[in-house]
Amino acid sequence: MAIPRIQDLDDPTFDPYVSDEVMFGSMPDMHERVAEVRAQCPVHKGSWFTSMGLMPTPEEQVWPEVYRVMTYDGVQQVLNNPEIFSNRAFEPTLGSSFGPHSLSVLDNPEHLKYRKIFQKAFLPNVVGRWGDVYVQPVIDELFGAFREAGKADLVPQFSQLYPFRVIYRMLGMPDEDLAVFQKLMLTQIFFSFAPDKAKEASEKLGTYFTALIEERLENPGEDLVSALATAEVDGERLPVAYVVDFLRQLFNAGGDTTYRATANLLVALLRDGGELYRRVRDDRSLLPRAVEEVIRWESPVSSTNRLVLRDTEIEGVKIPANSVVNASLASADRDETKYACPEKFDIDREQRPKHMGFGQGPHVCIGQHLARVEITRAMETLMDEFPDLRLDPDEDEPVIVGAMLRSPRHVHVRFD
Amino acid sequence: MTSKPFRKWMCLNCGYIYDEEVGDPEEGLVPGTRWEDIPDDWTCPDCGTSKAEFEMVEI
Ligand code: HEM
Repeated sequence: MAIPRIQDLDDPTFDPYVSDEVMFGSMPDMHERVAEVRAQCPVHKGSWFTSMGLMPTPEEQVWPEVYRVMTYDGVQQVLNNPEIFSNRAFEPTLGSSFGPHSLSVLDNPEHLKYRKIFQKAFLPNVVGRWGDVYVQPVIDELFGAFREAGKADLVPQFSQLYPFRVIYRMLGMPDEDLAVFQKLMLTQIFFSFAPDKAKEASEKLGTYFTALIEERLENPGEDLVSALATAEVDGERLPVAYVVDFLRQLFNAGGDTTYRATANLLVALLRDGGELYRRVRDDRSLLPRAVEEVIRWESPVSSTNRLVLRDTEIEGVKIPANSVVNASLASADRDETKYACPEKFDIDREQRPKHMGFGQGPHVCIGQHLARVEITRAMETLMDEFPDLRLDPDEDEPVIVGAMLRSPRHVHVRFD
Repeated sequence: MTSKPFRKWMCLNCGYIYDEEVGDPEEGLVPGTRWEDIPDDWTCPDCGTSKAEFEMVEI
């Protein structure tokens, strides 16, 4: 059986890349606004998204009472008490994009049962090997394409491409489908502003993955789809619907986030004359600290939602059942009662308490170990190949923007 | 007397690694705390899974 071909959107001219601004906003000052709200109250009633001028999200239409949790302790309480704070909050959003069996939508006992199977493929001792096999070749190819040019825009020419390509290769998919594939992956999460297109993209990906899984079951290889398709839970094969929904989630969860974290780190190291870039270049033992600090300082995922299953209280504020709590990871990670000078990107700080950039509790990021390998490899290679990398003085300084998934749109650089 | 080499244990639910040599001071586990000296009701500091879900690993 041949690998199926991917179907493009019925309107092939639809361009998901121009949508970032509509979906996630373009405000540079999100953290300042967050700090103001945090100073006023630890738990703030009302929708964060509409207060930031964005569209109300679908779950706010189903459960209109929304509370935003701003403090580290409050966020920790939400993420670590799944029996009160349920991931069903994602049913109208991620559940409609990725499917009802995606990990982000599941609660226990189902979540625990299936998560372990998927996590197995992304444990630290596994992803370390992937660094050589999948990550490094992609980085080398992309850098090779502009090495001689003396200048580049590292967002569209590198960071926005590499994590998607890594996942694509891990799945063993044909290169010629990559462009359509990436477009569908981005489009499927447009549940707020282009719901019809989102549905179409999600269905086309579902059809494709179902056929791909069948093919890999007949001819299993070394790739991730084969591994997941043949994985077993309690002696039974992982149901196809769970594998399909996981694969639909994988590119957004793993690509959209890692690309933004990488771009944010580039900004943090190269601004102010690039002193930090040179410091880390000359002492690579600082690189893991820089990676952890960027995830605290500017985690691409600035908040997550849970549905409140029974009346409860957070930081002394009563929260009724059937409300949605929006836990602000970005605010928790800049809580001044936990971190000194939280707005400062400081690679010398001890990450104590642990940052929330990858979440915490049962839904903590499955791909955090892969993300660390990818970002570390990207930076190591950049520092080896372009030791004098600097921001391009003829272009605008890069600015990290957005109210949900945050990153710069461009990082223009020069090198000799 | 030679002391036993330090080992590492990994949470199979999230990949958190407990390294006996460094402990986890934030969790009240001082450097050098052996795996067998951690109470059985201790849970993974990152994802909350039980101690039984950990496995010894070479990283
Ligand atoms: C810097 C990069 C990344 C960041 C900042 C990030 C952030 C997060 C956060 C905050 C969560 C928890 C959401 C919640 O509690 O509702 C999460 C979950 C998740 N992440 Fe990541 N992530 C990154 C990279 C990755 C990668 C590379 C992968 C894939 C291999 C991945 C796959 C997932 C999955 C599948 C979940 C859902 C887990 C569950 O619900 O049990 N992430 N991520």
